[in-house]
Amino acid sequence: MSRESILARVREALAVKTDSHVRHVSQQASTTLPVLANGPEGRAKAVREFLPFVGESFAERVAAFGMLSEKLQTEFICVADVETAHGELKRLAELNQWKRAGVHDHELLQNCTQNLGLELLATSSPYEVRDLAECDVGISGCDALIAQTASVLVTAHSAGGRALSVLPPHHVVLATADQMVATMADGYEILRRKHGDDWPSFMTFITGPSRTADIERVLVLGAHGPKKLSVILVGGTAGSWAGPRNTNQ
Amino acid sequence: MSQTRNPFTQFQTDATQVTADDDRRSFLRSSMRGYMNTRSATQGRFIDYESARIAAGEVKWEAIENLDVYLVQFADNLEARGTKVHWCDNSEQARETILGILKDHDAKTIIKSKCMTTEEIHLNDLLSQEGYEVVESDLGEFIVQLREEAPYHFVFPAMHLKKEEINRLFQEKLKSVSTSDPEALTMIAREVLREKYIQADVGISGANFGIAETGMISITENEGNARLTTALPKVHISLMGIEKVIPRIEDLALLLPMLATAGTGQHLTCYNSQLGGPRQPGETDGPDEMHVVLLDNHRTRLLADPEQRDALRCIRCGACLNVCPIFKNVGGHTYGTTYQGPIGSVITPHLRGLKNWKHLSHSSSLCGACTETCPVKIDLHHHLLRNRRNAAERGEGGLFERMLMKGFVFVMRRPWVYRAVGWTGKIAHFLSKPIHGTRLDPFYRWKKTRDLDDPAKQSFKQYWSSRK
Amino acid sequence: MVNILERLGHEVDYPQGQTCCGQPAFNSGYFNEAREVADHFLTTFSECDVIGVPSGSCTAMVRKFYPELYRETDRLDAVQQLTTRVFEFSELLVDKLGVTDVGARLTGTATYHDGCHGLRELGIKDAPRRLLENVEGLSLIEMDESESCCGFGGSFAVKFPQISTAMTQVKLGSASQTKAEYLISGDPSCLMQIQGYFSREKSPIKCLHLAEVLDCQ
Repeated sequence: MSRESILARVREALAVKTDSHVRHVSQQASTTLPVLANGPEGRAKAVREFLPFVGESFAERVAAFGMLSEKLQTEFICVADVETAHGELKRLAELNQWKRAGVHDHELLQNCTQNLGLELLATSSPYEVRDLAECDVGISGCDALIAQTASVLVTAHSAGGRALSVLPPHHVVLATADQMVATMADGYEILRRKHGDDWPSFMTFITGPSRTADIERVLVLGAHGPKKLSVILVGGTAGSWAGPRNTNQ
Repeated sequence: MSQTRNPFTQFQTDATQVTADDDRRSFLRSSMRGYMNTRSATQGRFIDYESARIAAGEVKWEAIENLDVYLVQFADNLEARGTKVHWCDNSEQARETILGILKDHDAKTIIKSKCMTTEEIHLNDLLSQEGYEVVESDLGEFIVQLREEAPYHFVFPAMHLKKEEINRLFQEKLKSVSTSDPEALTMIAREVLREKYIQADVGISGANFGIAETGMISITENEGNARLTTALPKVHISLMGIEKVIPRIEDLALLLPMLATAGTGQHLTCYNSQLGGPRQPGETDGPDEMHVVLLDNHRTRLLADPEQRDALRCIRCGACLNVCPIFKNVGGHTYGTTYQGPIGSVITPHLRGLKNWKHLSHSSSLCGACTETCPVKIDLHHHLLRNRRNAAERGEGGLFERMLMKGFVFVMRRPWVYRAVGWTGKIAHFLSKPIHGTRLDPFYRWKKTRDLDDPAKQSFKQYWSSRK
Repeated sequence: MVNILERLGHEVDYPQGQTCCGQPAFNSGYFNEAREVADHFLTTFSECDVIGVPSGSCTAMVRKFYPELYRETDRLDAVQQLTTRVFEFSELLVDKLGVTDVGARLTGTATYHDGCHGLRELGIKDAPRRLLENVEGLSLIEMDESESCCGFGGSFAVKFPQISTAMTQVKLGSASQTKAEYLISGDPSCLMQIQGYFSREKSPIKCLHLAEVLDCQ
């Protein structure tokens, strides 16, 4: 194999140090570098200090998540408890005329998806892809909600595999208040704590419903993935997102 | 892609054709204006965008300057979790490797998500020749594949096409009903492709980043096609250049928002997925096998250049194309390269030879809009200058140009000659009036489209002397 | 430029031996040849305290690219010293001399073209505008494409005339939209390109160098 030949070429190339003038060009502001020198924590700090602002309090994060969700056309719903979440799902089921739903083994889901009058397909055990493709909705849990980007962090574990959250035309995410974090770096931190070195084979940050603008830059939702994304935050009442106010039009 | 024509002649001919097409150019311009507006708004939300650029640039420097360490770590970590890693010196090896995997699995149909590296090794041509059904699933790529042409822009492959053209294409190739509504057209593609994902034996993707620490690849997309490509088929192959490796997973928290902001103006694209192997114990879906094909293909040659290895830090956001006045006026196909625009002009001479591709570095006014916009601060337009220097040092400019430069030095170092040239120039200008505007005029290439003022009656030097 | 500086009470000298900064060779990739011409520049201007240059492009050559040309040579110190003494005209007035009103008068509307070297190599954006705002009777209207390259780029304009001209065409479209009577810039080479094309296309817009405007009384 070419492993050794490639590595040998890489090492030979790197034996010559990078031209100092070129190296300098990207280093102009020295304030950045001390932050980065700190390894992973430094990265997390850079993300917090340079990228868009996210507040420290839960209410601020919910507000940030809500504002961006509106732009992304993510439906963001805050409810007090599991019971209300169940009610919301029931409302969504009727509104969207769901018949079949893809679900998986997940504590929060178990309590919310019973008695919705839907035919359920669980992806926690081996399933047929075609059956999942026939579902009107995929309902999943998640690992974190990222306030800075209004993203949902899911893995093969927290979202019932790779396909449940992308194949059906509507994806509903159930999240809890403690899952609301500031940045993507915080999201990785959660996964590190949960899985150690044994990472799931798949994780993704979902930021809004599937979209494309490949034809004349016109935004179209539901390119290949879900046309709709709904995020239900359970336990988010304390200063929670009350839906679009008159802030952005 | 024109393999047979001389790249320089092809560039000049195509550039002439596209620059004469006012309609297409204004279409491109207005689409880029839309991009700029979205992007400015997103950039404006950053607390400190400039520092974020420097930080992102530094992460990539760390990766490139320690590439040997991170590559080994990346490959070992992938293999530890059951991914097969293939190291390929060049395009041919990569094509053979991928073909080998397909044969092992007796595959027939292949679904692909967007991957410029597969364009670089001309994978689709080979697979079609070998009788495989290969379908591009990214909408833009799907459209250009139906048109049997190369992507126009490595982020927006079909940006040059109008909806009416796509309507005609779909009617002809997909027998679809006539519609010029972008949403309806997208839905036609969605329907066609949905079945392909489910049927495909193998999914082929690229990778935007490879994470050394955890042994994962990261894929950035908006449509969900890469997610389906890597979720449904039994085998997943990812082809990536060796320069895509980054040290830590937290680096993504910085690089992914930068990629999105610079690339499309979004604060983050819709799906940013990390894949660290085939289906693991306890998981219920995902491929049985994952292969990562690592490609050198002269990247180490660029790495060996202590000035221009800088360009290996590129995260392929395409921002330099979007702001480039050359790109906006000649379009993507004119370049004749896999990677268009300023970054393509910088790296193609290293990847495919300076002799045939140096003209791309000369075809720039060195305006620097690319360098100004690059989210990882690659010194792009100065690299174009360095390519020019390298070409000149190797005598690629030709005898005439060398003599011209010698003459230039001779004149400019001798003020009396400089003055004499000024005088003779004026006389020559007067005497040559009859041929002005004709092909014999030494300024013909200027004057064909532009006027040139007569030299001033009195030079500044004369004016200065007369004052004293 | 001389008139304005003298009006402001400065003594202006014009070293008679001056020729070119060497940029044409440098931009074509002939760095050794460019250095030979730069040697001449260094010698010619060695005695001057402050060097005013009516071109962002030439200023950038000296300030930004000379140090690169002279890396690892024994003239590097002299070059570094020189870079602190060379100023583009609007920089010289606004940043070095602290002048934003030179008492000029020109009636009409104008739009400003940012030359790429001045804008991106030197970071000049506000200085010329501040000077123009204080020109009596002149109102400045920004065009969308003020920061887009005019298409000149030295040998590029001759090697790739079709692309070069297409870029100027965009500039003309954008300048015309403002309905300005004048297009003003700080770079003679941009002005040669822009004026050459505007005049061929019979555009009524008059092209002026910043110094010409500031000299109007």
